[in-house]
Amino acid sequence: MFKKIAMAATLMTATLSGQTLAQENINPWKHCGIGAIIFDDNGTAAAISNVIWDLGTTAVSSKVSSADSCEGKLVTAAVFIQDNFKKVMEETSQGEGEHLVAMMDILGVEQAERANVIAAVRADMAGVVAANAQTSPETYYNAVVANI
Amino acid sequence: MLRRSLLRIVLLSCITFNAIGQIATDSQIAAHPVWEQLLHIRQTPVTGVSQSFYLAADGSDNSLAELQATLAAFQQHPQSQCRYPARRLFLQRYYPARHFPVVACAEYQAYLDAFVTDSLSLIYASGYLGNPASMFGHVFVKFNSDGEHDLLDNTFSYGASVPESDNKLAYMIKGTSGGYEGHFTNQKYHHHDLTYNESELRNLWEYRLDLDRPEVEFILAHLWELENTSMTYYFFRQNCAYQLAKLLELVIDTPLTEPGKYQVMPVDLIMRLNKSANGEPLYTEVRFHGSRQQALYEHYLQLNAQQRNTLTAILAAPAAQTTRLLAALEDEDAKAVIDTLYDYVAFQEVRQDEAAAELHEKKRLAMARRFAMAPGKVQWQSVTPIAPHHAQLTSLLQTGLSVNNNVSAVLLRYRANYYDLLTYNPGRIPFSELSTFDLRLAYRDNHALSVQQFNLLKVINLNASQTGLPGDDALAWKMALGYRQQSNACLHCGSAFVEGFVGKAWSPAAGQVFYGAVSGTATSSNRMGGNLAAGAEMGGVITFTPKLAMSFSAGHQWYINALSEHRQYVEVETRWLISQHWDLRATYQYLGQAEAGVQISYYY
Repeated sequence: MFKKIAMAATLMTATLSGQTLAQENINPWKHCGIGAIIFDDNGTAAAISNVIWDLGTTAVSSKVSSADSCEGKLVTAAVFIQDNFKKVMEETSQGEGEHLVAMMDILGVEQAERANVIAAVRADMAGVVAANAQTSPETYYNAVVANI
Repeated sequence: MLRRSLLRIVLLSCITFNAIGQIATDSQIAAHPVWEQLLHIRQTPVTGVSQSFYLAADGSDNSLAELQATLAAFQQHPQSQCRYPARRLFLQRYYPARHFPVVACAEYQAYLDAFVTDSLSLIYASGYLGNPASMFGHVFVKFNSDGEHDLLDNTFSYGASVPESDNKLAYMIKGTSGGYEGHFTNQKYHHHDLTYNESELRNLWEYRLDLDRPEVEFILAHLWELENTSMTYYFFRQNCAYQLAKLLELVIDTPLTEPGKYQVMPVDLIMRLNKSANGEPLYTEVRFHGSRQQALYEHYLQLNAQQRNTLTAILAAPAAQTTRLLAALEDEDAKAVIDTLYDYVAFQEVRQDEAAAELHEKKRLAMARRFAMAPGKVQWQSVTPIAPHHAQLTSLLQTGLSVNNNVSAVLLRYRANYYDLLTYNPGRIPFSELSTFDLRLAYRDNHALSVQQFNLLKVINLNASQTGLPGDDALAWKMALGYRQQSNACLHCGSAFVEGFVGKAWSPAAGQVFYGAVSGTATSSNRMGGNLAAGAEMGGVITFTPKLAMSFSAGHQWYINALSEHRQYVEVETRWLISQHWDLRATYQYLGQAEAGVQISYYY
């Protein structure tokens, strides 16, 4: 398990361009099993289901399939968004926040570009929330991918 | 820093030579505390999942045999060095003349590249009374990356593998008796942020340790060795705090478990960080990561009257009114209200398992307004509570005198842990008590020593609202079981008991809480009239100053199986804080007869 995490973290540090090319046709929810396996109903509740025991922690680390295309930073970002969707949405409405910083770090977005990316995602999600449309981690992820 | 760790000694000094200048023997090296800890000698053995952790047949308790087996393996099977990088680091320093075959460890190097950093934090998660496994808190380590946000840092945590089919009672029995296997697991820090801060509403305290990169790498090396291994888990000793203490003792030359104490509590490990050999703390910085509940309270207290009124109105009105109510505010005021509403909804999602759809709709409408405003956070004033390492220590020895019907008695008390309603412990849940193995003895003139009371477990959580907002409270409750004298008017009238109450608490001002509850008691003896009693109890806690606090309770119960009989009780206790180690108590108790006393307490 350590090795998988290490390798995933290593891959996260790779350049964005190469990963994007390999993953641009990947839907992490459909192809990597994020929603189906870990997050059936409620993202938060499911995410903590295996770590509810303080002194009995079972790691929730290998969330994605073993396919190579599911090990890159886009999928890592998708998992992060799924896990932390509530905070990510709140911070997006506020325009800044530590979860947004972490998400940008995962995606390797240049510092100079981050404000623009967040502003664009914020504009997209503002429309979704105002229209009372379905807001889901997947919707958010698609907005992010479209703007980086 | 002047402090020198064992690893620094290993790395920088000539400890391959003994005091008289001779080369250290295998036996001497095998007895080195770092080598012994790498093998977990005198602990529960490390069990490998697919292959043995030990190379020698008796390696779990024979450090010399394991040393010799490791030396042989490194020579004869060079790839074994990749499985034991911490042993390799250690042996390279102790056997400078011995050249192990050079071997590339690609997987281990990838692990190091991903994990190693220049700093390491020990993180303490405050206790959580909703779950017996979490009552005493938790600790884990975080490897701090300067290149990415803290949320993406890697962590290692030690815990028991608990089957989902095991209920809380099974957990307590098996957890305390060695019925589970424990192991280290790694997660990104944002999982802990989600679990503790958001889902269990627990505060996290981060102690950034004074370790350098080789020391951090040595810890990582040993964690690598523990991959796919397990150790028998014991809730009160070989638990998360114990294993992390032993892990850190690889590079810290200060004992991190309290000598003379059997049980090891997570907060004890935090306390030990204040005790380096030279008197300096073992950490360089303390950071607070507050829970969502903490954020709600902080933000609510900083709202002005108009903002509070708007928030209250939004919560009281139908969701459709949310937009109109927020429209009456200037943007900066609306931002503060919306941020606090976010906290409130998240808090209610935990308190009620799932917040009502109406509340989610209010949040959506508030969020729509937030999106429509210019980006930018509210400049909340940062509030950092007093850190848990300032609390009184967890084990108690107490002595004192009492007077009962003109008969004096010497009182002796031992409490294994953790705190009562008056213990100075800023890191804990406000107005709560968690006591285990609390034994009180009394010695009276002309009488033998007698057990006055023995609480195996006593938990109180008054759950008073701190904001007055709807849902910012829960039932006040108590659960206790043990053995005690049933009256102050008799000497040998002890009985096993289980008791509790359920009620409501109010906090009219900071540091004050009052409660009323229905109560019940079951006793093994019917000497006082019956075995089952039910009635009512009222009480409270008042903190006059940080040093002076008082708790009180009074109750009346009728015996259900002997309705003509009843019992009344009154307890008043005051505490004068002297230091982390000492306080003074004055008590008054009426239970069939009045008894007053004074005690001095020593915490360790």
